[in-house]
Order: sequence, then C-alpha cells, then structure tokens
Amino acid sequence: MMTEYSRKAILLMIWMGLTLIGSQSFGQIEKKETERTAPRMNLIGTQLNNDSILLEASVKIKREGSWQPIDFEPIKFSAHNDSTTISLGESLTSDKGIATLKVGISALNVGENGQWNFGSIFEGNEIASNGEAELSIKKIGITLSGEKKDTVYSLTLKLFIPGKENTPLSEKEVIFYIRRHFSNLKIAEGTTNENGEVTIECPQNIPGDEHGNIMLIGRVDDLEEYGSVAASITKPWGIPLKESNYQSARTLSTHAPPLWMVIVFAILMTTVWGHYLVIIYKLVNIRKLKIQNP
Amino acid sequence: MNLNQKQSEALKKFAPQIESFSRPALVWVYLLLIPMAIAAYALYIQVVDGHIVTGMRDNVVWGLYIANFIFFIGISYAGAVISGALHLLNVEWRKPIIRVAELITVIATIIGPIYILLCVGRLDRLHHLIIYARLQSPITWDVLAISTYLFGGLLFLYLASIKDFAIYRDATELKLQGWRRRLYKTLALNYQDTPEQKKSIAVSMNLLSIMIIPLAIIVHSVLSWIFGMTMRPGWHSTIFGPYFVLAAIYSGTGVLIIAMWIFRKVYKLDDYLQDKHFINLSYIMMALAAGYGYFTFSEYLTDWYSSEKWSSEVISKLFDFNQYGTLFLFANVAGIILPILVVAIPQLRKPGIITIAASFMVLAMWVKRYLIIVPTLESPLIPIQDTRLEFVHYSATWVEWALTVGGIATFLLLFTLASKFMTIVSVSELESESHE
Repeated sequence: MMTEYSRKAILLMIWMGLTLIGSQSFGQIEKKETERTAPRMNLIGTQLNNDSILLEASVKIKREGSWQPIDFEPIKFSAHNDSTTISLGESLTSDKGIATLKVGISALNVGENGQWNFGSIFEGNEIASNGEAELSIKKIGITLSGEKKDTVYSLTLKLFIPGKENTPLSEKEVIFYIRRHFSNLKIAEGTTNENGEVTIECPQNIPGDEHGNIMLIGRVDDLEEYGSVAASITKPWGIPLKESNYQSARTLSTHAPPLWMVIVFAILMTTVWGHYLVIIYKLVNIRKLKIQNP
Repeated sequence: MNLNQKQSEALKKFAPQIESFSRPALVWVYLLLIPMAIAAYALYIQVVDGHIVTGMRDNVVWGLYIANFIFFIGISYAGAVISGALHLLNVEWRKPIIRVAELITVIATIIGPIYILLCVGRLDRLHHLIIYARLQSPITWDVLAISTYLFGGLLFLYLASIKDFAIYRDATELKLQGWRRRLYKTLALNYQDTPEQKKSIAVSMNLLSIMIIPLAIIVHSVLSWIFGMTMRPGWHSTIFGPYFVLAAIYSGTGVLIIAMWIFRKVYKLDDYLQDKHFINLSYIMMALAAGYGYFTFSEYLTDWYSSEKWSSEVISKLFDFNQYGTLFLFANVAGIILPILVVAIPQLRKPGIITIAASFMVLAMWVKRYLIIVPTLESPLIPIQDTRLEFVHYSATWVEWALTVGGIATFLLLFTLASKFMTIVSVSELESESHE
C-alpha cells in the first residue's frame, strides 16, 4: 500500500521533472521578454599616422539606473559623401560595449566640405532598440619623430593641416605614452607651439622587448573638426628584456615526457597488465585442473 | 555440475528469460531499433556534411557528445567500484546485484568512448592517437586508461560468469539451441566445481577486485584531468579528480538501482532482488549524495569567493535563470537534496520511490556534466571578438540529440541482449549462499 508520504513524494518528483522539461531547452539561452529601450550610441574616430582611421562605436543602455554596455552585438560601419554610401564592415562590441574598425583612408571619398562622414548602426536586440551615430572629421597631419642627443632621448610631435603649406596647429594638448601589454603608460604631456610642434624628453628606464624596442605614442584627443589623432614610432630606447634563466618547460610541448612520468606510467601499466596476465594464466589453468582431476 | 535445490529453482525461474525472446521482448527490441536507425542516419549526415551539422563551433568545441562520454564512463563505475568493493568486503547482499552491476560496467564502457569518436573531426586520422601517441598528453592517458579499464571490466564479468556458464552447459532442463550450449561449454572452460578450480577463480576474482577499484579511480581521474589540466575557468581545479570519481560512483549507483528495479518488474524477481537490496543501495546512494554535495559546494564556493574574473563569469551564468540557472538548480536539487531526503525519511524508503529518486539523480548528473562543459566553453579566456554570433553560444542540433538517444537505445539493447544470454542474477552465487 502506498502511503500518503509516498504519494506526495512521487507527485513532487513528477512536478520537478515537468518543470525541467518545460522550462529549459538545452543550449538555448532563454531570453526574458522585456521592453526594449533606446540605446545611447557614440562614434569617435582617431586618425593614425599610417594613413588609417580607427573608428570606435560604443553602445550603452540605461538599466537599473546606470548606463550599461551592450556586449557581443554587431555594429555596422559605413562611410558616405554627398552622393554615395559605402559599407566599411561589421564588428562585434566588446564586453565594454565598444566595437572597433580600422579603415585605410585611401578607400574613403571626401565630401564637398572636405570631410569624411562615417556612420555606425546598431540594429537592436531583445533588450535594446536600434540606434545609430555619425561622425564627420577632416583630415589632419601628424608626425612623430625621435632623436638621441648625447644621453637624452627626445620625442617631437608635429600637428598640421595638410595642404600646400601644411598649416601648423598650435596650442593643442598632446599626451605621450609608451605601449604596455594591457594599456598605455603615460610618460609626458605638452602643448604645441606656433610651429605645431611639441618636444618631450623620453624616460630611459622603461623595459622593452629583448632588443630594447618600445613603442612611443603621441596622442591628441577630441580636436574640433578633426576628431582624435595619434602617431606611433618604435625606438630601441628601452631596457632590453633579459630572458629569465628559469624556464618552466610546458610539459605538453616537450618532445619527450619527463622521466618521472615514464616511470609512473611504466609501473602502473606493468602492475595492471601484469595482474591481467596472471588472471588469464589462471583461467587457462582451470582447464588443466579439470584434466588433472577428472 | 550438480545443482542444489536453490539453484534448480533459480534456473527454472530464469529459464524463460534466457531460452527465447518473448513477444514483448521482441517488440521492445524493435522499439529500440527505431532511435538507433535515426541515430545511424544522423551519423551518416554528420560524416557526409561534417561537424557543421552539430552545434559545436570554434568557441564551444565540445557539447552533448562529451557530456554523454563522461556520463557513460561514470555509470560504468556501478560494476567496477560497487561490485568490486562489495566483493572484497564480502558483503552477503551483493550477490544478486553484481551481475547487473558488471553488465553496466562493460556496456557503458563500450558505449562511452563512441561519443569521443563522434567528436573527432577527422576520423580518418584516428590511428594517429596510437602512432603519434605522446605520453605527456592527457588524451593518451585517456586512451590507455579506458582500454585497460574495458579489458578489466570484461575480465571481471567473465570471471564472475564462468560458474554460471558451466551451469547452463550442464542444465538439461534448459531448452537451448545447440550452438548456444556449445558456446557455454567453451566459455565454461571445463569448469567442474573442483576445489582447485574454485580456488583459482576465487584468487583471480580477489586479484581483479583489488585491481579494478584503483583502475576505475585512475580512469575517471584521467578523464577529469582532460578538463583540469587546462586553464579554463570552472575546470582548472585540484579537486576535479576526486569530484569526478565520486560523481561517477554516485551516478553508477543510481543506474544500478534503476536497472535492478526494471529487471525485478519485468522478470518478476522479487525473491532475488529484494527490498533490502534497494534499501542498502539507497544508503550508499545517500552517503555518496552527501559527499558529492560537499564537493560541489567546495568547488563553487572557492571559485565564487576568489572573484577571479573568468570564474565569476561562469558562475554568474550558472546562477542566472535567463541562462543556466534552471538547469543548475535542477542538477543540485535532484542530484543532491532529493536522494538524501528520500533515503532519510523512513516512510519513503521503498524500492519504487528510491528508483524514482535515482532516476532524477541520474538525469541531474547528466545535466551536471553538460553544465561542466558548455558554460565554461562559452566563457573563453580570450574575449570573443570579431566572431560570428552563432559561434558564441552552443545550441545542440537534432543530429546530436539523435545520436544521444541512439546511444541510450544501444545501451538498453545491449543490456537486453545480455540478459538473454545470461541470467540477470548469478545462479552460482545463490549456490554459494546456501553453503555459507
């Protein structure tokens, strides 16, 4: 006879099973139905000294009182002038909600007013509606050069409007960095003079690669009409990185296994298969035992 | 061999089971062939079109197949550890259940590695695993450990069955075809129950029982190290070896309970597979549930407390009900709390309820394997940038589901065929019981 406890237990288990089957499909992430909100989009461009422009589009939505990035969503980039629009490509936003795309300026057409016009489009997802941002910037010239005089390493950045006379841009704040693994290390800042130039002294105690190479960057942010602009050069002005004498060999990458592994493996396999052989021998012997004891 | 009364009764009871296929048994076999045929078609599609027909992509390179692989190798513990340990401890009540346990070991160890083959993109290079084997690779450890384990499991099953083969060979009351009797004669190795033969088998069984337990532990530890040796969040853990081992014994116990309940119902074996067997196994299940719960808590607590970026990302997915929260909750409630509750409350300690709890637990353990694999692979150490959206998340396709169901059907079919070849309770062990 089934007790009351038993009946309740079975009912509970069946309910749990049905809940599992009904509520979850494996591998498919259940999306909660929520009202879609308008995102805030921003598009910035950084002109680089290698004749390219780095476009960065950020997408955020306001949730729970704060602006939160929309990650892993595609952003479409385009460039347009007065008559045509060309697609530049598509990129996913990072975990910080920023999608980046680098484009060469040779592929871009300039509009009537001498500007490049860019657009970025986010087509929306389950939580955010679509959004777009635009950017118009003019071409700017930037050079970065390094010079060693006696024991002093100096960096000179020049900012100008390209043209026949290369009109210098004065009174602009420039920040200098050295490229590190995870971010840029700020080393100095300065303001361009009437020639559009600023010179700083480079520190000499920065670790470089094995040859002492370090990447030096000069950057000017948010110039009206021009956006941001950055230039970089690599110089052997760092401290060469000495290889550590201690090298932990990656076991999987070695040509031969370590000795201890061979020994352990040999002991284990010999022990197990040795026992198997003994047992098989005993099995064969069972027949003989019958013959000896008919 | 001479049969005592208890053996004769048992043989008479089991005669219909091994003499022929009844109509319901045939229907059951045909029913199993349907999912197997669908699985064969799915396999054909996968071989012809490649792995693009599965949900596995560059980021999530493992999915249902690996979850099935770990699950089947896990349940193979039923025979290896449970029957091995009970044999060594000379636990009397083990005798009616060891045959089922040993069959689970062998069949699950055969089915499990097939799922690895389904994961391999270039099956034509499968032999490279052998000819280019590197001793320092966990994959090589796995190949060697599982093949050694399978051989040990087969040997264990065979050793424990020799006396039964001799009984089938000599039982004139069994209506067997000639070829079957000849086969039993060959397999029985001229066994006549002489003291020397008895001793030889007993020594071999003891040796193998001692070997099979550490071997089974090594196999599942090695399996866990395929994950644990990587730097992946949620995998790189020192307790992964014992955690996998315990989970394997646990799920093996659950499958053993389910199999016993089915055979008891189908073949009306209430006299042999008694309530006490279920209750004793449920005690083992409860103890393992507590141990498994402890490991689970330790594993996630340390990951959560450290707040390391990638580990936190995986944990947040497991606790998010829009992602894997429901599955995670089910895995822990049905996999830990439910079995403990059912066994702890005396009124619920009945074969039917224990079996239902074991069924939920086994399902929960399968879900757990899925949760070990997929959320971690969806959280790579290198951020997923500039990749196609469908590569970021894993979604199993019908091909993978068909091959999963096909594998379960094959497991059941092999079990059914095995139960037609040998009695599901060891007749010779019943004889020993009468003498003891």
